[in-house]
Amino acid sequence: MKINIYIVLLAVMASIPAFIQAQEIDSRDGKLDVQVMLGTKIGGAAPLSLPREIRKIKSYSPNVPFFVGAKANYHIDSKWGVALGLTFEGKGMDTKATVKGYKTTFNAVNNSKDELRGYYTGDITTKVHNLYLSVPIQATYQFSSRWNVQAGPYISFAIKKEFYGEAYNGYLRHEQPTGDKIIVDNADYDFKESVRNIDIGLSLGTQYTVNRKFFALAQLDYGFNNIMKTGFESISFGLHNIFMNVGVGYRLK
Amino acid sequence: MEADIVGVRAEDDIFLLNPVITNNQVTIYLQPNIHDLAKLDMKFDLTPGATIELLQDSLEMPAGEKDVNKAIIDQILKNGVYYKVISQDQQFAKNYLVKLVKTDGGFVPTEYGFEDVSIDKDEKYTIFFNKIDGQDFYNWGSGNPSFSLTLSFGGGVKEPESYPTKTTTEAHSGAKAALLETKLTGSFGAMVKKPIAAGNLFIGSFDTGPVLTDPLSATQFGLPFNQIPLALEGYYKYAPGANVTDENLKPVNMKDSCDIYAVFYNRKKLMAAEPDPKKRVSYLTGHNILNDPSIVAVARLENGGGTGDNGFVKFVLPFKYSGPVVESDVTNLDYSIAIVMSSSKYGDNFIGAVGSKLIVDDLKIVTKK
Repeated sequence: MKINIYIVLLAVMASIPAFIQAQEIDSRDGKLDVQVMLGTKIGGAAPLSLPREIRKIKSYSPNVPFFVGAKANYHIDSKWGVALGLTFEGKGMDTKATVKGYKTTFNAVNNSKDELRGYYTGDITTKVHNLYLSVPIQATYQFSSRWNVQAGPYISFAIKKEFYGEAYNGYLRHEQPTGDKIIVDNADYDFKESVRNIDIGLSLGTQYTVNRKFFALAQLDYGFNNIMKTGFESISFGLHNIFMNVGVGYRLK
Repeated sequence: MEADIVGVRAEDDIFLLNPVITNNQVTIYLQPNIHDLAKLDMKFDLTPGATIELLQDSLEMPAGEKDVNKAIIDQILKNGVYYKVISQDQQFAKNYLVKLVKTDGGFVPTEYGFEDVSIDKDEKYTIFFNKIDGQDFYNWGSGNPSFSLTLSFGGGVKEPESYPTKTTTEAHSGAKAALLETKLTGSFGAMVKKPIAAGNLFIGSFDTGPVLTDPLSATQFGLPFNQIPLALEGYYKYAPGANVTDENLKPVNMKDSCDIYAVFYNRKKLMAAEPDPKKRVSYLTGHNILNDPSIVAVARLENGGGTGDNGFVKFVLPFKYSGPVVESDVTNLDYSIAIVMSSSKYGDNFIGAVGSKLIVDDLKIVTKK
């Protein structure tokens, strides 16, 4: 089911260039070009520095690691330009970690009122599978015939949010680190309602022109805001979307 | 962050049992015939990095007493002394009531009026204890500590009346009696498939650790007893709730009943039967309270149905012995006794009727003279 959604969205994305072409954009001596691109990414919803509560990361794997998008570049002169894009992308990860004194809550349903709060020590899985529709606005600079760089902000709108996991092989101190000790073996948590709908960040990327039509790209996206909503206290440190994208692109014009 | 006492050690072999350590209380049972405690040297094992200090406010120096150490020992035997454990990061601290219990002459009382209670400082539930000759004995455990999870989860009011095990002024004698009531555990209980909590009260202690993973082992039944029990007597009233439900809160076509029983078991035999010293314990749990091979006698209320409007009903439950008992072993404290009461007989499997109420007063263990 999930894969079907991706296929549909990929088809939609793939049709965007055709749509743009159909609009007969005035290219005016090559001042405007349109690119389509796709690729993969690695990264995660990560704290800015490893908090002391996380004692060991036992496993990490990217999840939904893809992007597909289109970008319109307007060339101001031979060096400088601006770009406006639309990207459909997944920002996700699956991790297993050992934590100590990790302030959290466990809940059965996604209801912020009914939850078991406390400080958890033990193993924890975290599964983040968020899909965003992102709009980057970038300045571009061509510094050689093959290389250019782009930098600029983006705004991402979450269209699917998943943030859940399981605590196992550990214990919870109820409410306070000095509270009653309760052995926890398979307690679930689900924080998807607390994931922000909007993520704002900065991208820095480069493209390498392979030939007249094809190019390779690499881009780092860094989310400024905590991906969790203000007032969310179940993780005591902020999580930022930090991803490295690599992919290929095709110039339509 | 954490600030626990995890163990207690003494240089000499002076402990009868492993010290009973809960989240805020340490009870240490001494071997019989230990009289000279002047040079008692106890060491507390703590959470790594934590420190411990005597809570000075809790020590009452008797007038004219100069020897602080003697004052501590005297008070630790009588009412207990508070120690404060401070976490490594200095951000959290927890007070423990530390109590030493001399065991010669027996220390599990034979009569209980349920008059002495204290209220847990943080969670506000009722704790039953016994005051005998000015000494406090914390012999009773209940499931109240785990019910505080339900109250936290659903945002319930933490007050003694909210809990399944509490007191009532509806007493047979004196001012109070024990009231056990089967309660709904709310959204938290539903989440962990433990939808009801029967009120329970038992000789022993309660460990919140396994309440989610293995609730039957949370109840640690029994304490050493140095007399041969003949009968368990007392007065009770029981009003079963209307609708019995199962662990999924689905109706079950039966009437609720209460349970009152006592088990006398050979603690030495129980402990010797466990080859792994890490698993060796001095108590029975919900898994083996009625079927462990170390059990020598059981006294049990046969019909735990409602008592109607007749007021308190007296019960006399004779201990039925399944084997011989060596009297000198009993005198040497090789045996333990557990008394267990519950407002729903099958509450340990989360079957019972919400609202079932059991009131018990003036409990007595009749012993062989």
